[in-house]
Amino acid sequence: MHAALAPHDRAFQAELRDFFAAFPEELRAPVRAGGHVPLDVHRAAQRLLDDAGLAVPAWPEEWGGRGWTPLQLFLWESELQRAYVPPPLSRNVRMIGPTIAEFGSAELKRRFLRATARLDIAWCQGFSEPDAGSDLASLRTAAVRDGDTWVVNGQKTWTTMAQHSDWMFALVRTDPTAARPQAGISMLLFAMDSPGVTVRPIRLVDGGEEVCEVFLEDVRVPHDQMVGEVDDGWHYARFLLGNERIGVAPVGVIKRRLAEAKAYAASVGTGRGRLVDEPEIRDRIVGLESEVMALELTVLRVLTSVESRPRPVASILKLRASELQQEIEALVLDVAGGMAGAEPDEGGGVPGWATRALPSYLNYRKATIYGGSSEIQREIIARSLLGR
Amino acid sequence: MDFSLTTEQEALVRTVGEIAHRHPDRAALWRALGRSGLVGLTWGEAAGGDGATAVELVLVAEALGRAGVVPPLAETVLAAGLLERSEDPLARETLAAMAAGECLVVPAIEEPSVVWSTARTGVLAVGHGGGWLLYGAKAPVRFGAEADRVVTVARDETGRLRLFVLVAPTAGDGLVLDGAPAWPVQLPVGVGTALDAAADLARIVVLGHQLGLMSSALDETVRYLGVREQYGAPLRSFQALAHRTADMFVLTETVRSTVYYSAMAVAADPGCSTVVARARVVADAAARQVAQDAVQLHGGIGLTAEHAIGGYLSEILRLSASFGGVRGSRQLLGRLVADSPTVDVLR
Repeated sequence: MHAALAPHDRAFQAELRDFFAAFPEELRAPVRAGGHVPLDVHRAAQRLLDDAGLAVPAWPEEWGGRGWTPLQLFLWESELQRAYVPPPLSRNVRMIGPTIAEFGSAELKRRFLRATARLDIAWCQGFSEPDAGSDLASLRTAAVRDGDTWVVNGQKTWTTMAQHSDWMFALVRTDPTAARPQAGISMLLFAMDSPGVTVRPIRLVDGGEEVCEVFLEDVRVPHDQMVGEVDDGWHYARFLLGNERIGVAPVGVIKRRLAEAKAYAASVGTGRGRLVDEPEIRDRIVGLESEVMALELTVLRVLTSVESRPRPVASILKLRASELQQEIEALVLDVAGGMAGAEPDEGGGVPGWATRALPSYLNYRKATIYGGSSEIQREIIARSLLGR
Repeated sequence: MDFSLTTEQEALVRTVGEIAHRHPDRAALWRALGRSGLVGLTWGEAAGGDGATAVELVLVAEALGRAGVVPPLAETVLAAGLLERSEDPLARETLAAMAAGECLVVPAIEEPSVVWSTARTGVLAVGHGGGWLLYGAKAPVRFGAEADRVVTVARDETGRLRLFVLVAPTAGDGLVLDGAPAWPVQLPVGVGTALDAAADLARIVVLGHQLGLMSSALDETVRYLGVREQYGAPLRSFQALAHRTADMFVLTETVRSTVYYSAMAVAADPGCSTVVARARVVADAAARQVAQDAVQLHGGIGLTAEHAIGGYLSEILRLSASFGGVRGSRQLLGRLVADSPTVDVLR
């Protein structure tokens, strides 16, 4: 056990820090500003990253991966987030990319992997349905075979950024008679401009339209756009979600947000000084900084020691990370105080961060719901712990 | 950055566990630890110690906590940390006897109705015929009743803090000093500085104990939920109880990461008080929560003196208050909040 980075890892960290510090400011400014980052900004950033070999370091080396250690991948992500570089989109880089690389045909790999790494294609995830949330395997969107084509009918929902996406990876039911609900599911890829695809953005409580409903009506998908084997989709989905969950503790983003909260608290006056120096705010920051450190250290323990790895890792990290994200949003909201209710365009000198505090707080209520709700995570942990 | 244990460290954990298992009596355990060279683990070989780091220390403390016993290890580490800085023959001789487990030396730093301080004391040291006499009171003195010697701090007539050893002090849980003869110990640094550094190592022991105690409280609870039946089913089948246990597990594992890291950090830099303080903020609240939940999930039996689970809670709380407690940690960190934008562990 030792705390310091090895010299080669420290050099690696310094090199990345320098690279990201020189990243074009116009691509970082939208991330720094908070709120929605347009897709064209993500695309431009992703291409720059890819040109430098930094777009998909965790992928197989054949497709742009770098063969780095888990600790180096963590350093890459931390430095990228520290510098407000637009992060590679999880749906492309963590979810469907690695899944195609692992299970896709040679043809699918050739067709999609480079385009996915460079964000020439922006993917959306067609998993959840109106009646299949936490219980994903109860999904009903049906795909019926017609020669070399699958005809898809049904509805997806909570589809993040569907209105801006080029392609969808979807779970569909190909064998409604299978004994177990998990058994008759397949994974299909199709373009969002295919006939029969209708996207309806959902207005959320924060005022944004981050997610959509996607209606699928006689959408014709060629068989060669199926990932892997017919009826084996649940297996691939588990792999895909497993990849998602390694990233469930976005430590870099969380640390950045807490640093912002401190800066905001230092910018608010109390009549006798700064809000950041008030004992109760200070004490909340101390608590949060300590808990965030504990989260980061748990990630690092998982990354550096196989033997002492607590299981199930992903559920532990997801639970803690999402709770902390929400507590930090609550701190920002309280620091903003009465300013939090102000409209962005009202003028009068209310800073942008303060007008965004309430929408941001509301938006992050999603953290304990998506990707397996906190209750699902506790259930997974309890089963592993208690053998229920 | 690496959290993996060496095979030697794994063996150390097993050894301590076995010794603790063989000696349920605390005094016997302490003597056995001394015979095995585990009492003087962290002080220099020249002073009869083993020269091991805070990492080995935290692992030993955790293994003891796991066994449900808290011997005077933290107190010994603090006392030794002070004495080790001195060249005095008395200090050298005391250290050697301590390492062998033959002589229990505990610190008497706290004073009644005053918060922990390494900068102030109400005890006065008066020079008297070439020696010193102490006036005032020290309490609580943990393990004072069993101690052979006590190290303590008093101020002389000029207000300067000085370190003293009291031999055969007849201390109970506190020490009333009414002209008690004391042997001065010369230190090359200020007493407050020496005390802060020694206390951080003692806090590492506290953290290890709390981690071990909460781990055992969780394990006992998991076992109990599997065997205890109500409404015709084992308790583990009830979701409210199962989810509470899941939270206990998450807390325990985040504490483990943090406590191990704090020991690694101290091993690399004994001056990193802020890391220790931060670990205490995380560990203390979590240890209390886990132990309280363990009692709750055991029901009434968890509150009986014959069951281990209530003992884990009371030990965790006792440790919680030691060496300035978590309040002191929060105060230290609070002063530094605005100094740096983030807490960085990867350096």
